[in-house]
Order: sequence, then structure tokens, then C-alpha cells
Amino acid sequence: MFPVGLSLMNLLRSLFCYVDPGVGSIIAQATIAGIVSVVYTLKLYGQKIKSFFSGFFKTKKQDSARP
Amino acid sequence: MKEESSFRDASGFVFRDRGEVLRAVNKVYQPDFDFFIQSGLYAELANDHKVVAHEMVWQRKPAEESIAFVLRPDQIPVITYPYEWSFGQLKDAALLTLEIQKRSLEKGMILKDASAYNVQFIGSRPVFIDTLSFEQYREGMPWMAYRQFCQHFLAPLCLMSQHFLLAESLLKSNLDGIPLDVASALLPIKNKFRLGVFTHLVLHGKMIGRFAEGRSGTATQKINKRQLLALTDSLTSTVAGCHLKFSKTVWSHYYQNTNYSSAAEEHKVEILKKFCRQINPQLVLGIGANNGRYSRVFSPQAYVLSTDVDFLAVEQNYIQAKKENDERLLPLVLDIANPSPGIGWKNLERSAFLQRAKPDLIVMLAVVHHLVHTHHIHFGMLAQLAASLAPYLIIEFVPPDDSQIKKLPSLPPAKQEMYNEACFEKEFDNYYSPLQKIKINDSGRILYLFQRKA
Repeated sequence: MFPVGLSLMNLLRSLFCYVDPGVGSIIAQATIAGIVSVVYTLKLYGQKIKSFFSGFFKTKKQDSARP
Repeated sequence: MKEESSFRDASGFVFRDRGEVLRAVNKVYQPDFDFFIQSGLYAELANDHKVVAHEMVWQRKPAEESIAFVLRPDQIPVITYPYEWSFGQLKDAALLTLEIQKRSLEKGMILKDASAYNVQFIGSRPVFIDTLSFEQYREGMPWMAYRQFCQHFLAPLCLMSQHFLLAESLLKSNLDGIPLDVASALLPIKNKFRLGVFTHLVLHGKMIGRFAEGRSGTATQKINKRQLLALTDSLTSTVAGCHLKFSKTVWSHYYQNTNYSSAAEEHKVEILKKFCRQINPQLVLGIGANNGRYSRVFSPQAYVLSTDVDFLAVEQNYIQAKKENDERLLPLVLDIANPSPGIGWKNLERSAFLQRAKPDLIVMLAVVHHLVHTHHIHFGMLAQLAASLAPYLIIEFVPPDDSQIKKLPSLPPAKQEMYNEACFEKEFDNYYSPLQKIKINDSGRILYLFQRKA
């Protein structure tokens, strides 16, 4: 299911990292990062929409408060 | 002298010089360290008190050729370990680690390890102490410390939030955290279906088991920075979602069930203040301090380790210390009848509690009768232990007819005969000279201030 083999990943590893999480953890991390990225993206868009509307209503409110 | 715990990381090591902890940075790590400084990450984190501040001390560099320079970090009053923290302390240490990981990624760096031992407490404030944990991020690299973070923080927090408070003590027997398959097996099934718990703990644990043979260098997966930020964000939500469900433990409501009248309590505080002024301590070890009510008598003057065996009492103590931004009082979980042992390499990698804490005053209030009745520790043993740790001792003697003693397991007749004021004083006299002896008003209890004999 997940491709496992010699790769360039060693080059991306730190020269000093003494923590070897094992191949299972790296594969899990890639899979889980893919899943949670969807939630993260939705969350970011949600925040943008929220700040847009809160800014929009704030402006309206300020406009209506003007004499 | 090199610290016994400082041998894994090739980037440098920690050593002691003239009573201070210093950090040697090796030449091979210098490019990453320079980036840490030049990117502004260090200044930001140090200004926000997230990372321990340091200064260069060129003149204290050991002769070794491999060392580039030496740092003198701000000194931590007492080093403590995750299995001595309450739930809230472990959770705050986890959130601090994740915040630093996020801010590092935003500045083009990443944490190469995420050990709970990288965090220490100054009173109620957690601070990240490993200045050499930062390395430059390269696009596509995974977070090598992901598994370590889950084992050191997420697994114990998830288990503790499900009433399994003792899960934290598994960190004593598992130097690199609780294995994820073990944590997953111990979790109640309904808890496994929270997205964060399912992915980071259950699925993660299963995949580690499935590919147990391979080293991480053989994986082909690349993870971009956005995904790493998403992973960090998800871990943060999962940790933040772990809450301790307070239930009543033996000690968590102790001060609502004491036999002290308010007059007795006021007098007790007054005596303690007087003793404190008399000896002017710098570091106090409170044993059986419960929620820290009496530890706070000492904390305006001294740094106080306010310890108790009960997780929930310590949690209450930490919540209060945090609310007051108290950097002089550190609540800790400690069973004085079974204190944290030395673990790891040569039993010195994480040293025993009694070797780390060097108080000049020990305070044991309303605890002697518990040690005698429950643990069969006699007065002589207690005096010997206290005298081996600190030059001064404040101790409360609870007389045999005290109503609280009737709630404890009874002693065999031979030991019961020995439980009295005269025997108490005789045994302590072998190690200590009494400076003060004051009977608490409206109570049969007595407070002693002892000084160790030369």
C-alpha cells in the first residue's frame, strides 16, 4: 500500500537527529498529515470568512453609528 | 564535568562548571545555531520567555577541539522530570513544545527532538531549555520527532484524562515515552474515535507495529511545510482537548476535612512565618504539601518545591500557582516513601529526586503520622532522611490521640508504644538540635524547628 525503499529521504534527514522514529512512523506521519491538512485548510478558510464578515459588520455598525 | 544525560546529541553537550550548568556547542552544529540566531527565532522565543535565554561565555570553553563555543543559559532552580509533574504541567509543556515547533517552521527551522525532558519549570512557568534542538528546515523533510512527541506527551495525557492518572509513572520505566500500541490498548474504546486521538495515537501506533523492521531512512514519503503546520495544529487541538476529569481522591479535599479550628490554623501560619524569618531559607522542600496552602507562607522569601503524593492535590496547587503567575513555587508529585529513582544509563541519565533537590529547609507538616501508620517508617528513619537532605527542618508532631490518627491503619502494639512525643524528640535528637518547639493553640499538635548537628 505504501511505497517503501531506498530514497532521497536520507538526504532530507538531519545530520544531528538522533531520534529514529522508524519507517512506520514516517509513513503514518505522511498519511496523517494528508488527513489533517484538509481540516487545517478548512479551518483557515473558516477563519478568513469569519474575519471578513466580522470586519464587514463592524464597518456597517461604525457607519450607522456616525451622526 | 559532563552531565550524564548529555550524550545522545552530536550538536553539543551540557556540563557543570563552578556550580553552574553550561552548554558546549560543537563546530558541526554551528550553521544551525547561527541560523537560529540570525533568523530572529531565538530573540523572539527568548523575549517571550518560551526558550531559556543564554549568553556566550568564551572564557569558559573546554579545551576540546570539536567545541565551537560555550553558552551559559539562565540557571533553572531545580531540574524536574515529567513523571514528577501534574497533568496540567505535562499539558502545558506539550503545548509549549508545539508552539515552538510552529514558530520554528514559520522561521525556516524545525525541532529535531520533542522530548518532555527539554522542558523545565520555573515555578509555574514552563520553559524550553534545549537550545540545540533547532535545525534548519529543508522542504520535504518529515518531523523526525513526531513519534517522540506522541510517546512523551500525547499518550500519557490521553490516558490521564481518562482517569488513568498513574499513566504518567509509566514514563519512569519507559525512558522514551509510553509506546503508542500500549497507550492505544489502555484507552477506552469511546475515546479512540476522536480524530486527533485516532490518527496520532491509534493509527500511528498500528503503523509503527506494521513496519517495525524498517529504519526511517528507507521511507519515501515527503511532507511539505503546510502539512507539517497542519500536523502541529492538529496535535495542538488534540492536546488542548485533553482535560482532567476531577474526581475525589484521598487528599484532594484534605483541607476541607482537617481538625484545625481557624484559631489553630492562624497560629500555625504565624509560627511558620516566624521560623521562616529566623532561618531565611533559599530553597524549601515541602513534603506532603497537598495544595500548597502552607508552602505559600515560604514562597515570598524562598523558592519552594511544594510536593505531594496526590496527583489531584498537586494539580490544584499548579492551577493556583499558574493563576498567580507564581515563579517561586513549583508543585510536584512526589511520594517521599518512594521518591523518583535514577533511571537510564548507569541510573544517572535522569537522576534520582533526592540527588537533584538540595534544599536548605525541609517542611513536613501533618505528614509524620501518615508515614508511621501507613508506611511503617519510624521517627529515626525520617530524621536520618531529612538530615541527609537539608540543614534545617520544620516538622509537625501529631499526638497519638489526634482525631486524624484514628482514621489511619492502626499500628501493632509494640510500635504504638513508641509513637509519642518523648520518643519523637529522642530519635530526632540523634541528628538535630531543637531551635524552637511551639504547641499550636487550640490543638494538641506541636511545631518544631530543628537544626542539623554538625
